[in-house]
Amino acid sequence: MVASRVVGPVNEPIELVCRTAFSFGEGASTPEEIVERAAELGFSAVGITDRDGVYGLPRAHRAALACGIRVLPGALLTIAGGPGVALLAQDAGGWSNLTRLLTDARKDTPKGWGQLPLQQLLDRSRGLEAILLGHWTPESTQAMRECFGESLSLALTRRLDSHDVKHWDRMAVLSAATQVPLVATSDAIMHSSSRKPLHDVLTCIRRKCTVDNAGSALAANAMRCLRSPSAMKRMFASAPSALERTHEIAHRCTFSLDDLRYLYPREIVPEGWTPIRWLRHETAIGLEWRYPEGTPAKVTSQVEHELRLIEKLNFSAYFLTVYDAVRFARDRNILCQGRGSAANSAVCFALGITAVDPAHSSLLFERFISEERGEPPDIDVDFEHERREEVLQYVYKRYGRHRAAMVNEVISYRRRSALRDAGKALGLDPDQIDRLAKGVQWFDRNAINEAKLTEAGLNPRDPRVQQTVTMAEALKGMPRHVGIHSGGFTVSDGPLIDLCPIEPASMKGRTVIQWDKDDIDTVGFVKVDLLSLGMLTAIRKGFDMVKEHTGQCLSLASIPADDPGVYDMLCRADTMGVFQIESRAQMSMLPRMQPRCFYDLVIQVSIVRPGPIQGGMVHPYLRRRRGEEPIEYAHPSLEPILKRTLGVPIFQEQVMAMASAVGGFSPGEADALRRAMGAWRKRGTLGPLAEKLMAGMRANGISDAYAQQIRDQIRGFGEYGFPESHAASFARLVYVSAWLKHHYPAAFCAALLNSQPMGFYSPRSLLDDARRHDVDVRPIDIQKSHWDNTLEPTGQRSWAIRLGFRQIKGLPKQAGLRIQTEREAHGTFQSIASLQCRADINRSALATLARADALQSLAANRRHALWAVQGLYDLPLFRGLQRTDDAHLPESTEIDEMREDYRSFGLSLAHNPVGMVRETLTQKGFISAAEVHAVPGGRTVKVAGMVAHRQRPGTAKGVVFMTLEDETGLLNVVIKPHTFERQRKTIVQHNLLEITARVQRDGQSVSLLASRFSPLKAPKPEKLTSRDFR
Amino acid sequence: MGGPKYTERMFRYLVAHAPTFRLDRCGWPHREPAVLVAEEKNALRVQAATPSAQQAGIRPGMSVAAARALLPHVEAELLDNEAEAADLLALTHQLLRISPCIAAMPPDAVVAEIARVPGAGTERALLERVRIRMKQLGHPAHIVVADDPTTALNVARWQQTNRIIPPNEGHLALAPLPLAALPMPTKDRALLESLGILTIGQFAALPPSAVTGRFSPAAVIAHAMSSGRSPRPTLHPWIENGPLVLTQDLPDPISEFEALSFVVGALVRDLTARLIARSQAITHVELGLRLSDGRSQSIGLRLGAHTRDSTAIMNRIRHRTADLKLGGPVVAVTLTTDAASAFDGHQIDLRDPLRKNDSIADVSAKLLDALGSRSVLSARSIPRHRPEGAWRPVPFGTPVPSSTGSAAQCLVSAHAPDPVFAWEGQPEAIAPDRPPIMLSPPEAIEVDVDQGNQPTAVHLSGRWESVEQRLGPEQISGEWWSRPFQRTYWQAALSDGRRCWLYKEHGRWWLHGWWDR
Repeated sequence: MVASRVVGPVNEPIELVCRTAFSFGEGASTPEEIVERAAELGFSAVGITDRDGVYGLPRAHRAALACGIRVLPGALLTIAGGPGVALLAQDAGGWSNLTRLLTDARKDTPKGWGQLPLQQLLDRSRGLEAILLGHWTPESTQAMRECFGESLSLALTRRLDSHDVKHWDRMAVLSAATQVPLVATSDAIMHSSSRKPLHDVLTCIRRKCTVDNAGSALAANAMRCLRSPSAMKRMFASAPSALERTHEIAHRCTFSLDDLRYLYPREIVPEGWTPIRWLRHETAIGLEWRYPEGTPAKVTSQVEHELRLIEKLNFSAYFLTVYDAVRFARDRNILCQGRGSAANSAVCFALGITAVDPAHSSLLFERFISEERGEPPDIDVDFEHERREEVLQYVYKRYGRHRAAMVNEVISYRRRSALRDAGKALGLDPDQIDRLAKGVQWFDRNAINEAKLTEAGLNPRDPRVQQTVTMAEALKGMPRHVGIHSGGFTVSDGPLIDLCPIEPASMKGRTVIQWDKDDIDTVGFVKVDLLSLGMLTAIRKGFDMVKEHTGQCLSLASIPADDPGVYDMLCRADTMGVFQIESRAQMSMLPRMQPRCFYDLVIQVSIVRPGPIQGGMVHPYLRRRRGEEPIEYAHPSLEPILKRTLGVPIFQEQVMAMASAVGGFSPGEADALRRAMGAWRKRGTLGPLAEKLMAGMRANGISDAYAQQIRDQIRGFGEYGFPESHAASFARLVYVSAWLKHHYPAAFCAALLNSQPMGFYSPRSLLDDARRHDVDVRPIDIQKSHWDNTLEPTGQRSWAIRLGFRQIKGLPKQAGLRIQTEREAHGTFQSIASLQCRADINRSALATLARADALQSLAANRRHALWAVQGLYDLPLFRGLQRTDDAHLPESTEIDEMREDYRSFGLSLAHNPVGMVRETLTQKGFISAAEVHAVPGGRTVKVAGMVAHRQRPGTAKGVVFMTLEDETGLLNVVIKPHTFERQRKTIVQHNLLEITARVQRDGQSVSLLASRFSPLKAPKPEKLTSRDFR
Repeated sequence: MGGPKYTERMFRYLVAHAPTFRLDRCGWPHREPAVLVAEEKNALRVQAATPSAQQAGIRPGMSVAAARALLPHVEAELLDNEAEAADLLALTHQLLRISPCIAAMPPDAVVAEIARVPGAGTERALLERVRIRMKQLGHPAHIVVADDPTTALNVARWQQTNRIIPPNEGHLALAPLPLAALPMPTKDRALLESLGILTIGQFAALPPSAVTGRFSPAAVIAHAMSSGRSPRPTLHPWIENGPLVLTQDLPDPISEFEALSFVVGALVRDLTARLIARSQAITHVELGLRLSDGRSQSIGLRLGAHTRDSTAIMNRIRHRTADLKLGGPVVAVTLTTDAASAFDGHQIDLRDPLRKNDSIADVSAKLLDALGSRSVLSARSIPRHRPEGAWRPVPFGTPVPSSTGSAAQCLVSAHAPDPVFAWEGQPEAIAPDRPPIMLSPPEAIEVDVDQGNQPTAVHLSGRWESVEQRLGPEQISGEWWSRPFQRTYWQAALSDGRRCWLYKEHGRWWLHGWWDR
């Protein structure tokens, strides 16, 4: 839909200068609020002119389309050493000039700033309407007039403050002297005067002061809001020409974001080839590579079918772009895997974008690329997280910085950040704010109650505290700053810089456009997601280790499929470290799900998600799978859609297909439904679509209860839903990582450790798990360890993990690598002094090694090693010289050793804090995690352990899940809301706990329903942390 | 038990450590949960806690928020360093009778050198006297006598006992104490703990040569302390640092003040010379005259600002004594100063409007003499929108804060890099036009308005004055976080030539001020 370019009757003024919340720390209303309010007040158009950026324009544009008014795209530009100017684009050329000016303004300024020399603006005046704000000198105004001519105006504002009279006098004089006409504006920074308190808070946040000492830095009144045309007429009654001028300007500014003409790049095709011919050619080569024995007929016909559709929809260039990035990664041995709506196609398999073999799956291409939807395909490619930057820099180089840029991501205020900033602005003690924010980050998704405030050391009845909470709520959802999207890249045929401003990102070497992923959908840009995934790094490192120790070359595609041993392991929920299915919830589902094939894994990764859980689909699916209830369909037309999932909708695409089949939705409406799912979280409603869906289903004879379930499920997908296409790609990584864990547990664990930080579990838990799988874990040793964790053979096909220097906290990587290199070159070290000299390590790094007990081969024990290290001379001239005086050092106890281990690398191979008090625990009637598995359901037990995780998922209705770990294994603990609230302090503040709980059994799945918590009296390591999640 | 026999080269120190002094002096009873707090590392942190607060687990170093999380109703009092130091000094005065060689050991202890006190009795008797005295003063203390103050203080603080440590046995007393009792960098302490050395005794057992080079210089000093080799400061007999009193007896009585002024001038020069020697300045001086009949006559003089300028002081004396009638012949002249304070040595800031003309200080000093300091004030503007709150009275001559102070601080940070600031100019830097005569509180007033709600006439002193000219409206609102207000102001030129400032709030009109004609 293209908005009308008419700007209403001549005598109706138009607001030309409005700042939204994308003028960060300044505008107190979102672009939508500004536009909707403008429409409500009766404006036919409104100028959106954010400071040094156009971040909010697409959102304003979308809102304007909905409201039926026009947005005049523009921006306020800061002139170096002077005031500012509001620029509005008259036409596409003007827009191009504006984006280039903004790009230049952002180029060499600190993040969040823009600044441009006046001369640069004068050189790019064509197609732009300029309104001068602030204090311009007659000379500069004259210079502007010479370039902008009739398109220059002086802003006349009426703020009803103490400067108004002087401002009007000054503007009248300047206008008369320079012959530049005046134009009336409110220079609005909020849509309604009710936002004044929020604006004050934003001002304080920006200026790093509090409302109490901000004084006159705050606005004197709330007049800088949108005012109705009639109010404007009243206020500018003495300057009617300034009001008329608003209309003249709006009339000249005919440009709309709809006019942007984005074209996908074409040069990825060699000379003489068309994109589709080149794609066909590369696909054919890929098929030969994938199927050296000959391409199965099913695949050949699938490829042909897909290529025809790709040609018809003109998507070949897009596929080739993704292929180009993937080929680059493959050439450099960077593991990658595609996912997304089109990634699981046979073409993508042939091109190496995905490893999901179409010969072994029956995913339908149409399910991922819809001819009717007519939107670009979505392929996300995950790369190893440690090497993704190489791919990004390749793309920049391939297309040039003026044509390729990453996509921005708007970071909005969340409860925690809102509380922090509002608290600071209202002058609360920083420490109290910190405690409050941390307290609510994880557990408190609902309003902050008195107890939480008291716990943070705040008085809930203090008006200032209440104001902080109110202001934090008002801030929530407002844009805070812009960041960089996790991997979204956009490339264009022509200069991207003519379409959208490009600015340097905080991260060195990256440039970004000013719009985020939703915004580029609005303006029709195509995005390629080049993401990073820690598990790919781990898998590649695992493959490398297997190759080094066995000679076996593995790849994502070559892992033997359908290994029964792997599925047996998964059925036992033995999945710590396995991609996507290692969480407590997934582990509890696996024994019930009993996955036996690849498609079961696709379902497994999708079913423990808010969508299916909120839709109440999990239990029906499990019952049908176990044959406990018949597979039925609410309507015959649903059978082809739901057959693969036993009549239960699990994937996002299924819900959309159901909307079409039984909800009476057209493909366009189904697509609108998909978008609405994503916006559910922000808006909290599906609007008329939900009613239409319910009515459609009712008309098709579907029961209200079932329809209600579907609606709930859509809501769940809004929280976090999984499309089948993503699930299929992830399932592949699930299988590959599980296969590695099953066949090469040592290599798998070492690879995970070498890829940290990633995953759900700490190195301590991963190593404990490996040891439970009979993997010997050997301590860090200066004579044997590398920087990375490595494998040491212990038998024909078994290996031990030798912990690497990377596990030691505070040891510089360079020091670790130097030790490794020196030892490999010249043999083992004979003394601590020779280690210091040969590896050129300072005394501080040596002390770190000594504390980690890595010098055990060179000293009697770690205390003597540390004493010896301290006796070394650190000056270069005296390196290798050692003080020989001896001292009688106390013998260390087990507790000392354990504490030093934890201090040095966060775990202890020899001592477990819980194991150290096991005898006492047993005497007091406590049992171990291993023993719990033999206890019948319903019985009450007492257990003790270290907290590995705490989790309170949104779908669990306030239930908290905890993973408790002792020297024998893990336990899943379930804490009901009332138990949690009653014993919150103990549960949250202590990481060593005694728990009284009832054993719950569901098939092979065992959990504990906790009733009482108390701190465990055991030797506590200095740094014992848990990983807590929402 | 007569205690040790003191030798010429022997030092013995008595330390009284009052663990609750810091909160006692603030008036917090031990049973009340209260903490003393100060800003440290970006948070208000506990400096001391009452026994009741300590029982709840509150410890020094903990943030206030953490303390309140443990004990929601714990009272927090902000530490006033100067007042605390003054009180500790006062406490030290109280113990002067124990020994003239006494000093404060901030924040909560007093030390006295007792080996050279004639007739002080045995150490045990002395300890008991101090213990009782401290209790009487309301600050129960642990008293320890040792060869050096550090040892005595550490034993008192960590063992919480009264004790006499025999000569040369300080290291034995220190041995069981934790390493934390020694002043040492955290890094060294962590290193020692990693080596299994957890007590001072274990630390002391390390050979000195082994400690040097392995640890920081501060740890080497701590090691010496652990072996009972702490520095023994020389505590000099207390010298009171009070007011100066200068007297000049006259060989012959003088009946004319003019003649007397030469003597007074000489005394003033002596006085300023001594002030310079003590790095002090004064704000008040009293001129005392002893008459031949034995009576006295005294004249108090305020000096306006801290000074030690003899000319300025003499000018003040001349002004004050211009019409003075002597009560009789004077036989002696005395100059007595107030408690002199340290002279900050600041050069007068010639840009400072209050200082650029010396006569202002002179006039203000005269006013201060005549009316008293509470009656002579100046206005300091505050960058605030609420007109009646946009200034505050300060004692005349209070220096304008340079870079500290909340308002100034705010402006400093506000003018720090800020993209919007460049945009808007500096609106808050331009003072708004406000009437010099502000009514406090504003007066309710009747106002006639036209159709546009603009004032046309005001009712003053029983009659209506028409508004000949008006400027406005100016809308001022804000302070929603404390006392919200929303006003519409007008400047109104009245038919009688006066110009007033009116505002309307909640439907009522108020007169807020007048401009000079």
